[in-house]
Amino acid sequence: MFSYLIRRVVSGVVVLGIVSAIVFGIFFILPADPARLSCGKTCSEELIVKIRHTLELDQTLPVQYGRFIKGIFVGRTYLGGTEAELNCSAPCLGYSFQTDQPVTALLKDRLPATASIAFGASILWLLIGLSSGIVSALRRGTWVDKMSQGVALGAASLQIYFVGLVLQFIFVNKLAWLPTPGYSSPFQYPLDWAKQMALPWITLAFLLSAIYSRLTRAGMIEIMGEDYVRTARAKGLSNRTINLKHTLRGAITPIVTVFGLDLGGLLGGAVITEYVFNIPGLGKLSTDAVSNLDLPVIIGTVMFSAFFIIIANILVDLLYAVLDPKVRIQ
Amino acid sequence: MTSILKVEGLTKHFPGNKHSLLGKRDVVQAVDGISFEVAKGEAIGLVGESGCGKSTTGRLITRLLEPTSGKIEFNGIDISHLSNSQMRPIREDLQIIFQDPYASLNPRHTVGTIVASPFRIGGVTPEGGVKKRVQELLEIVGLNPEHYNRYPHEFSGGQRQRIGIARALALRPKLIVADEPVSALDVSIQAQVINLLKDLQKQFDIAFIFIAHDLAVVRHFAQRVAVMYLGNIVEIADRDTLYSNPKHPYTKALLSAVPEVDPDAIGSRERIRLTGDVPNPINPPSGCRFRTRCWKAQDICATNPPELLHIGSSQVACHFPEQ
Amino acid sequence: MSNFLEVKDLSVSFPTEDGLVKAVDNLSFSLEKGKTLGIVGESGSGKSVTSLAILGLHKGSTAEVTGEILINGQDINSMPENEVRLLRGNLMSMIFQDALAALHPYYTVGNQIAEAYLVHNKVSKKVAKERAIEMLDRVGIPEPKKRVDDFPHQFSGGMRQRAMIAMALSCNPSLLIADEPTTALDVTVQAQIIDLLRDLQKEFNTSIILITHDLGVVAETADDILLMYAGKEIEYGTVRDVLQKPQHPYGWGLLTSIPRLTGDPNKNLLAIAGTPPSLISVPSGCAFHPRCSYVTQVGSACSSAIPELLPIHSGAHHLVRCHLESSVREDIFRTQVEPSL
Repeated sequence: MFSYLIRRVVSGVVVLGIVSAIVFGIFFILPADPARLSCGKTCSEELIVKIRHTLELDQTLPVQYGRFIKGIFVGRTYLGGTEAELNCSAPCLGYSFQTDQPVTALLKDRLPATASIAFGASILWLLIGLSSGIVSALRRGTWVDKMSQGVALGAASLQIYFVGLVLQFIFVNKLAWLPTPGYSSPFQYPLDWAKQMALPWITLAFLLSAIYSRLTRAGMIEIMGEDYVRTARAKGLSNRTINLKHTLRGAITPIVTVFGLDLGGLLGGAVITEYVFNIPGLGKLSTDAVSNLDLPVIIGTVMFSAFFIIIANILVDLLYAVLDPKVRIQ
Repeated sequence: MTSILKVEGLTKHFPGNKHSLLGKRDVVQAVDGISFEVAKGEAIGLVGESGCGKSTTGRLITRLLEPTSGKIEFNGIDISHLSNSQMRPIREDLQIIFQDPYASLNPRHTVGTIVASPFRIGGVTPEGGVKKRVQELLEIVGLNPEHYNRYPHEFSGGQRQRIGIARALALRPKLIVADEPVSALDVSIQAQVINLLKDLQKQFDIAFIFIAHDLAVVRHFAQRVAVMYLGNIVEIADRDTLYSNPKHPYTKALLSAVPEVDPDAIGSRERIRLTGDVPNPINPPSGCRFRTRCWKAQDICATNPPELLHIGSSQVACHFPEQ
Repeated sequence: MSNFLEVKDLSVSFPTEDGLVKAVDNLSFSLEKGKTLGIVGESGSGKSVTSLAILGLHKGSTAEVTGEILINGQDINSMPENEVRLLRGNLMSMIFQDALAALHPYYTVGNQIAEAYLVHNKVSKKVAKERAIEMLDRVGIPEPKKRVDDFPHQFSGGMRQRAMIAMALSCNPSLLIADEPTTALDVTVQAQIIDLLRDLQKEFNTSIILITHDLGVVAETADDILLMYAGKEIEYGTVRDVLQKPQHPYGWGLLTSIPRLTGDPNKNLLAIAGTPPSLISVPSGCAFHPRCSYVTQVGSACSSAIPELLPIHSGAHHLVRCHLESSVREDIFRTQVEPSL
């Protein structure tokens, strides 16, 4: 088991390396010139050359990449233009072309908002998705099942920007029950935080619980036909024990897998949600960076979300071992 | 006797799980150095419990698997390591019938296509055309020749097994390996298929390797029987000797475990009850692999693997064979 | 002696797209305390459906169950589910063919046995676990204290079936239904399990219903045999009656078609022609008539009228459902069947 974990971590690091190299390469071959973009209005050829030197864009791609990687592990030193040298300690992802802030600081700044959306929404969609899926499976064919699966089918085919904007129009603009979505610190202003996050949570949960409901229903129905559920009935267990301890337990593994990956993906940036509700999270950071061609920030956000997805994958695999003794014992 | 198949020291080890990063991978010793011969037109039975390697042996002989070591000589040709394309002409003479008549027929092909597939693969056109020959074959195995246009799901389990048999017969093979051909069938259907195979074997003088776990079924089909245990052959003898006078303790135990249908005979039979299950082929017992369940085992059994030696008309691998 | 289990006119039907399918049709039998009844039949004969009905496991499904299932005089079939549930695993329990599939893969063997004990006994988890260890020991699992924490996949096939038996017997049930308990096992392990069931039956005076297709297994374990075909019982009597003097042509066919370790192996087996019918299209009259070699001796009745289940002669406990005259049947058996047994 331990050696398996090490293998997974090593391969995760390799994947991160590959991701960074690809992103680096893509931006190198783009026709846009970051030096010109960061040069501003009063720009001269001279200044561009200087900026290009400062940003180390005059180096070859392998050298740039090598320094980038070195920055992550041991930190690096920038020439810092006319002023003194800039010391960027590890892990260093460089400086934003736009704001000159360190990328790591930007990421750290934006993570709480994204994490708030991701964790809050995931609790909500798990609760709704699992319970409606279980009820549907147990009442298969009844109107309860048909209605909940109908809603689920409808919800699964909607899009965040549609649902989000409609909800915002109703709850913020018309009824004024909720403030405009945004982010405040949950530690300082917990109530404001919850109120501002409510719409993103509801929107995401609405769409994702539909998927989880269908997944849970299908899994439960499959497991209900298993021999071991028949054994549980033959033992005289109560329906509650059969459904939750035996059936749901058998059906939970694929749900956990999908959940881990969804959560990991969201932590890297709930791009559309943040964009729709204008929340200063990682997703917003990356969309802004893309529209400004802010190379270091783009690379930083891509690597950050890749990092979360890889971590989620490893965690899901470990969870698999916890959930399935067959995996654990091998 | 001229033999159609000669197997010498045949071994197949499968890679198993790996337990640590630098540790060695487990080796599943599915078949471990078995030797036997099959004469032309002879029906030999290969019996044993799950994990004894009988099915693996069948797949090695038909070269659906690559042997780890040892030699398979079919019709005078060493086929142990032939490639797929080199095997193609040989497959005309060497066919296999599988246990599961549901899984071994392509559900999207008509019976005609399935039975004719050996002609297509072998690039052979039979006398009178493919369709005529297919209908003949269907008739031989007791199916309605008019049904060549139907699909497998339209047939019952026993009929599907007949389709598999027709396909195996198409090129008039010299040897057919039948891997548990009746164990998935209902009791009343088993006898039909056993009778059919027996008739075909005699009629076309085909050698058969009949792989089964059921000793009574093998008795009704094979002239000679080999008993396998945990990758080894422990006893080979002609049928009457093996069933009336088993020499290996395992054979004896196996025979005594078969439930008796006649209520009056139950009390009168000698009962030998083996303890435990068959050990794991990843880590088989040292020396004689049967010793952990054998009531006759002595020290020598743990150290020296017994060789397959002639005792009377039987060949037995045991340090303390029955007389 | 009074019968512990009494099944009267049991029918089980399932609604399907092709109409109502009668999987079990008017089945009646009885079982004394401490005795074994073997229900024998091929796939689709209705034997497993019968066993599930006795445990009341069709309740809550679309199946329609009619008739009476009396255990100690109480009718399981008319009892509400919440009452039957308290009897399941307690008064009556069941073991299944494929123990690997029938045990939950994610819980330890000990947990699953303890769970069965805990539902019906007000004891602590610790006591239940001790009971699990005790039961594992009783069914012959070596080192039960250690193995109790193993998962089903860590057990060998034979041990898994032993664990199933331990689970089923943990509450000392009066009735054990064993549905093909040895079919998935190797023959040497099958023999061990048969011995174990026999020993446990003696010890606990359990009544056993053994569902199987294997005549050898019934012969070694059962007192009575009920032969089923296409949902109906076609022959019912003691093991000796049914296996040594079978009266129904299907029984003859089964006995002459199974390969045995005795007799002339060079003779072809006397197979039954055709295939077992599908329950969606059961043949008219006697369901066996399309496969029966003796239809000509009776005539049109075989395909038009369902024969009744009658004693082979007045007062006999050996019942058969066949249109053949008893003297003709006697004659055929003596001249054609007995010599090839």
